[in-house]
Amino acid sequence: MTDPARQSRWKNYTSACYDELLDNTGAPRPAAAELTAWLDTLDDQALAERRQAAELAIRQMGITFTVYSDKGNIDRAWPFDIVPRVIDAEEWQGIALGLQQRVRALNCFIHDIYNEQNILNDGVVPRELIESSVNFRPECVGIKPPHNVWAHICGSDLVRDTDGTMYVLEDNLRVPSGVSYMIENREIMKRTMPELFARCRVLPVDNYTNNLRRMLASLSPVPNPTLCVLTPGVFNSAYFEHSFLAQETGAELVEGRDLVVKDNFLYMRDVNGLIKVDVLYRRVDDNFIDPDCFNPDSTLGVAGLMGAWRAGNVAIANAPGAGVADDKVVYAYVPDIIRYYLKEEPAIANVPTYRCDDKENLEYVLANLDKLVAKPANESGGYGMLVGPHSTQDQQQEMAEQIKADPRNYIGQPTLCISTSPTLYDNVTDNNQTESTLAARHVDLRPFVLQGDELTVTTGGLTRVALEPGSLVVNSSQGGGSKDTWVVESTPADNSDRNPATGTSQQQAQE
Amino acid sequence: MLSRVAENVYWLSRYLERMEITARLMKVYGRTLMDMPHVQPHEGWMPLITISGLDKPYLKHFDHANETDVTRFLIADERNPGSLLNAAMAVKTNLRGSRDVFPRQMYEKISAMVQYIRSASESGVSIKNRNTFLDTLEHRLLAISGAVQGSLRHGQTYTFMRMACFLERADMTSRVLDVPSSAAVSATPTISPLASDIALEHRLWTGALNSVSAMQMYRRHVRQPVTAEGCLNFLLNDKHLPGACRFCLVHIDECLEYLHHSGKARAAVDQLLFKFDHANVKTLAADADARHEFLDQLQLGLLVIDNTIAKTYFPPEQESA
Repeated sequence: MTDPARQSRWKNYTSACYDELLDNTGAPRPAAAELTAWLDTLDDQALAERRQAAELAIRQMGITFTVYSDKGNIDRAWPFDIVPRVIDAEEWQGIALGLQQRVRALNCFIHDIYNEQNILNDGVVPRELIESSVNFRPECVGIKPPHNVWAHICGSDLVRDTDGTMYVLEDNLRVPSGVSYMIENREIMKRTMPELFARCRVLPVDNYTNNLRRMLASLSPVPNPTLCVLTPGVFNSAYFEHSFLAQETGAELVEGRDLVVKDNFLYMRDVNGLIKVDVLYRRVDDNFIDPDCFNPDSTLGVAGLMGAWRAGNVAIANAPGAGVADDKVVYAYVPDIIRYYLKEEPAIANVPTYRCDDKENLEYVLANLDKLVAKPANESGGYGMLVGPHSTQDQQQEMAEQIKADPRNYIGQPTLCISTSPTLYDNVTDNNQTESTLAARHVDLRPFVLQGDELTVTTGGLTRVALEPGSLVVNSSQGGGSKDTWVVESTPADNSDRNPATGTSQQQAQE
Repeated sequence: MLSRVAENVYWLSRYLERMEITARLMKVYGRTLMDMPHVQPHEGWMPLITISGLDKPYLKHFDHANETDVTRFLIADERNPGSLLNAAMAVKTNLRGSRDVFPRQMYEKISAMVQYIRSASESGVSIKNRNTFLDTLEHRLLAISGAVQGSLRHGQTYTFMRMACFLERADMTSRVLDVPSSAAVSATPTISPLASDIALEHRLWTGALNSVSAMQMYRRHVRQPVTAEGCLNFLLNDKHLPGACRFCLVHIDECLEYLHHSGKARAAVDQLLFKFDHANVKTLAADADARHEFLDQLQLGLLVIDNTIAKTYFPPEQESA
């Protein structure tokens, strides 16, 4: 039984925004009730011990994420918070359907753009917008990839605003990363808090790699195709993920120097000679995959790849050119894109977006840089963006200059009060003691959608958390952390044969 | 299997084997020296450096060879390319490039081992805790071998690992056999009349057998007192002793047979085995110069095999970064 003398740790927990685990009265949301109750049985020390165990597991499993500024250390341990984020299974079902709808429409859009261009001819999306996009690849015009699908792997970022509504913040259609961390986060939880899984009905996440393999294989007419994951190499920030996905899908992990194109076929240099590659899951940006076609200085790709792809001799996921729908200005049109191709209303809303190529919008954005979030249209990893309320006047001035110089490539969005989730952090008290407590930190969610011959969505996704108090930047490359994401069936499990868990050092907490 | 990955796996395995041998040598040698009270303490550890082929880098920094300096040099000295610490870092680098071909538990075992050496070298390995350190390291390395044997598919990856391991081992055995004829040892003065030359020689060959953990096997299967001839014959020619050169060569050939395009490399192995067939062990036992010459040839032969394997299977040099 819980020690009645001790206060519930949730008593002092507050969030200025919507909280993922507790409602605004401080009561746990139904799907999170088992979790919050269990956390209450652990005192601070027990929590700190669990965290240490998790950190040890991460080191043992070799889960790394390289940060480019971190020069000497290319094996930086993955930043992880042990308190999971919980989503009700019923809500998740709706989100999953909405994501499928979105990716289906985006693929119709990309295919249309590189072929008939109906949506441009009908004036739903302005032609100049596409033709001025750096991610529009004229080399791809006229190509019909298998299943007419271009973006096979999509990671969309979702955020929740104060009223509890989920919004899509952006769609990552080029080389979205994070899915391996989603799967490994669950593994870490299983190793460090095994008893929790018996109490909570957490749906598994590990079917992703099977789905990925199936999807990749569906891109080739060959019965048992040879799959490769193309990585920029061991110094890439997501090298761990590339290696993980190759291992889990039975693909070869290749670098550009392992590949060669001959007579429009792609081969890898094997110890037995050349072996034909049927499907290439490339984790290298378009611009670098073929020096003959794009950036001529690139050593990350292989010369002639585009020719082999155009000839239909190798499938590339995601297809070159898919990034055209990844533009943050195109993002503003996604609701219209969904209506245009699917004749359906979008199931998940977009965040209201001010496109700076529009004169009125531009003026509004420039006048409200202190309130808005301003983003370049084609950056990822949170680079180059300005969070108005958290910025200085100088930074706003600098952003204003950049926007004025290139309005087409900037958007503004209202600063959402994105939801929080309880996160363990070290609080240094007045007398210089460090204590581990739970505090509200902002989170987003990146689910992954696969489309080949069919569409599948991960169960939940990767929850990223801004570890600094008040920070809204969750990107791992900018010091964000991550959490395990639980999709939980909230119908209460039968608890009659279970005793409430007890903290390992509960006695010490008595006062 | 990709050529680039094959190269990573090959070097990973060579370094693992080198670490295992180095750790064992240090343990064995320390014990042998305790029984040689007349060896000058400031030079007694030199043979260990010689076996490891590190004369040059060592003499660049030191003019004597006492226990503290030699063992530190072999364990954690960053100036020594062959130190356990540097070998572990090389293992880690090669593992990074080939991580996806290994079962996870193998990956975890290898990185934990590397981590262990790193933290041990940071906190310093003293004479007192050296044996505990070496024992633990040996256990960890054996656990890795176990995982290779038990959980890695016995296909190409496994074949490259084995081949590399046998080459490294044959090379080390040849160096161990060279010690009794090396200058450092023959210069050892025998001050006490009790320590006769014969006793010293016996001790050295026993040390050689121990170095490749073959002493007990020698007793059981040769059933003779330890002599130069017996020991040479056992460590060069035995077909069933894992540390024996012939055993290693026969198994390298077996590995090559499994791979395609191995004609040239197999011919190089054949050539070396031919030398074995025609070697006169009696002469080699009696004549230190002839022995040294033969072992030199053996090491060159191994180098030829290594080069041929690299040429046949690994990416061309200008391409590997």
